[in-house]
Amino acid sequence: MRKYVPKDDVQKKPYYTDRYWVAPQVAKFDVESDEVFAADLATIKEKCEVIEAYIQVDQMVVIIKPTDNFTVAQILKDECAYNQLSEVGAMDWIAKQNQYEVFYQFLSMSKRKRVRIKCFLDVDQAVESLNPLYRSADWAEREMWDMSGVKVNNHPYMKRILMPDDWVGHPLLKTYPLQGDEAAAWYEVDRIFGKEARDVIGPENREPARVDRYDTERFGRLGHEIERGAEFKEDQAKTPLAYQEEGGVLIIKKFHEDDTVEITDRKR
Amino acid sequence: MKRYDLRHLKSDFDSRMEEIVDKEIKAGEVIIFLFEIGDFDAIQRSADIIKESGCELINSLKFNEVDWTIVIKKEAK
Amino acid sequence: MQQPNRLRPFFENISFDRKDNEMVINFGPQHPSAHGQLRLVLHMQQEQITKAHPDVGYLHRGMEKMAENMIYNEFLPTTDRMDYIASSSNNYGFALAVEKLIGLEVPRRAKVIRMMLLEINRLMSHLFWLATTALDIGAMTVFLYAFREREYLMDIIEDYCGARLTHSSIRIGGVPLDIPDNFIHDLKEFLDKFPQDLKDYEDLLDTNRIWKMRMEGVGVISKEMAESWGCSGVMLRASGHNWDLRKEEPYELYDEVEFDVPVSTKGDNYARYKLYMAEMRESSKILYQTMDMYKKTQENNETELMAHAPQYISAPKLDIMTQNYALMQHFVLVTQGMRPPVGEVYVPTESPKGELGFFINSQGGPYPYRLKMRAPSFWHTGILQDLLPGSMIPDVVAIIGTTNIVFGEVDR
Repeated sequence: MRKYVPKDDVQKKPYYTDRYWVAPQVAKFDVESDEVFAADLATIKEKCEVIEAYIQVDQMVVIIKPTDNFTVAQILKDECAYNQLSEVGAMDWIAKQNQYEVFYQFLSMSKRKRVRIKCFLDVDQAVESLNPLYRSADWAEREMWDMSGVKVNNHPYMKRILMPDDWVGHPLLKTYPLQGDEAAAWYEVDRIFGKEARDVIGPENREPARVDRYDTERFGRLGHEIERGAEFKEDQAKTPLAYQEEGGVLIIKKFHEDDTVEITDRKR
Repeated sequence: MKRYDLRHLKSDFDSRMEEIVDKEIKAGEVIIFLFEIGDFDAIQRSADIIKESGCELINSLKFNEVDWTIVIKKEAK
Repeated sequence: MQQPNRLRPFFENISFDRKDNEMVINFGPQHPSAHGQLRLVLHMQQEQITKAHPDVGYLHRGMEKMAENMIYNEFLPTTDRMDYIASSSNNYGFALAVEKLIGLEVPRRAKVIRMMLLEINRLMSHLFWLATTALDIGAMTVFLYAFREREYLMDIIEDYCGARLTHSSIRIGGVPLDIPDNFIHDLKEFLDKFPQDLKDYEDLLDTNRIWKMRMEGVGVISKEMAESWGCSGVMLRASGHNWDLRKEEPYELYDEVEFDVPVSTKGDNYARYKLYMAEMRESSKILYQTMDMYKKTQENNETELMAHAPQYISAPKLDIMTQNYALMQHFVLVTQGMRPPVGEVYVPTESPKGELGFFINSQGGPYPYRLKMRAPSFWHTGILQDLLPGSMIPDVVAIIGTTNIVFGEVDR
């Protein structure tokens, strides 16, 4: 029976995976092994229900319900002295369980500890904004919405931050191709000239080094210049590389291409 | 661990190889030589050069039709 | 903002309308002192700013998306382009994150070389900051001097990794090359004359009336604001927090090296300027000590440069050229990529700009399932939103200078 691979996940897949290979797990330790974390977890557990908590690579990871992320952040900030929200991000588990996973990375300077609060929320579910507690959440959540499409409630200025304001789609989803979808490829043309100008302008030349010698619209041939758009002929009159206008500049001696000397030895 | 490409010298790479082995590498260092096979005597010649200069021939490989690669280690005097 | 449609198209540089002499101007993406592509929309009453809205995203290359389609080693050169002023610190941040994910121990000599590279990068980044900030405020000579110093450092880095800006000088699991013979000599030569140059810049700037007027009391960041906005690095230490990751959460060999962390409580531009100058002295102190540590590793000849983990890191070149299995394993690691264990890790490091964190969630495949880069400049741009209201236009230029923001890192 072949392994199930989600069809719309267009990210790059491993070239070959051994059929019976099971990936090892990064070590997870019990929270009780570190008393500072244990105390923090206890204070969280009083107010909200904790689905799972463990210590991974000397940081505590606590998985909670998405509805009480604000209360947990409040507890961490007030009671457990986690005074900085370093990062907010989202992961896309839509193919597996039709859910996003949002993680908040907290830092306590006094205790020198870092905690990661994670919550799984459904695709149409929204998360409460932590902006009143930590101002750094303002931009972080805007980027999370922009990149992954996780909706955030009562955010002061919920707009896209990295992509243009009227961009369609969220780039970091697994269903969004790396090179961008059709709307992304035609974004500038649609925005400036409108959809009907697509076939006039033609697709974007994504290959930076591609030069089409017969296309006189976009490429000029040094030394064999012809008007833009003119018909390309094989035997082109050689036009010398003149650095000045035809009549030359008033005071400056006209500098001809043959007078150039190529210096080869650098020590001169 | 340096790699010296002597393919451009075609078959008269002996002097350059000796020069490199004597002067340019430190004792105990491992280097890779790459040279053209030509008519197959180049391989024997390179092995002789390495032997008389007292280095240890670790590996001698034929990666493709034209080139020959030898890995040598200079004796740590 | 406007509602664009066919009749009133939305172009970025049309002049904004004016109501009750409140003027909205674009501190546009192409601005000489915007340190890259920052579009700052400023609502102003005469010269005073009432509302500032930084609009970023002009240099967004989709690095996190690229990371999900590249194997770990392939992604390393991309991290150079994140904070292109000090690219070795990004490489190091990424490499450390992957090493912690795998649980890898890097040999001692590689650690010493890495610390040297990191501190040279810190010096280069601070010198670049000093040059651009001084130029923004008008001090041309300091700009030229600082760039000249930076040239020496770039030559040293170029000797090591062949590139001046995009170093990719650090690999996952260690360091690719041993340092060349003249590296220590050149570095020592540079470090001997560096304090004198620093003194010159400080004589030029410290008591300069214009510099003090433009910098003192401008862009004051309070302790709570720095904390709540997620500032890090010099922005945090200028507001009274004694928080330097190299001291608080020591990684590599920072716990064996003595250096102290300059902290100030003023929180204004001048404090940040003094901190950057002090940090340059600390970095040169560290570099002296790493040179001695390198000599020690030479004596008790721990000369391995890469960690020994066959399923993650390919064998040294000597083994690859001689043993068959090493060659086969190297081939698989290079073509299909190494597969770290399933798990998550967030590893912060102290980059010249602040706390640079890499969050990697791997599901056992050769490509990271999710890679989030915590760039310090992202929040240092965000703080402009709360910091600029109330200041004047020339202060905007000074504040952007001292926040030391780089847009490769902000937009990723």
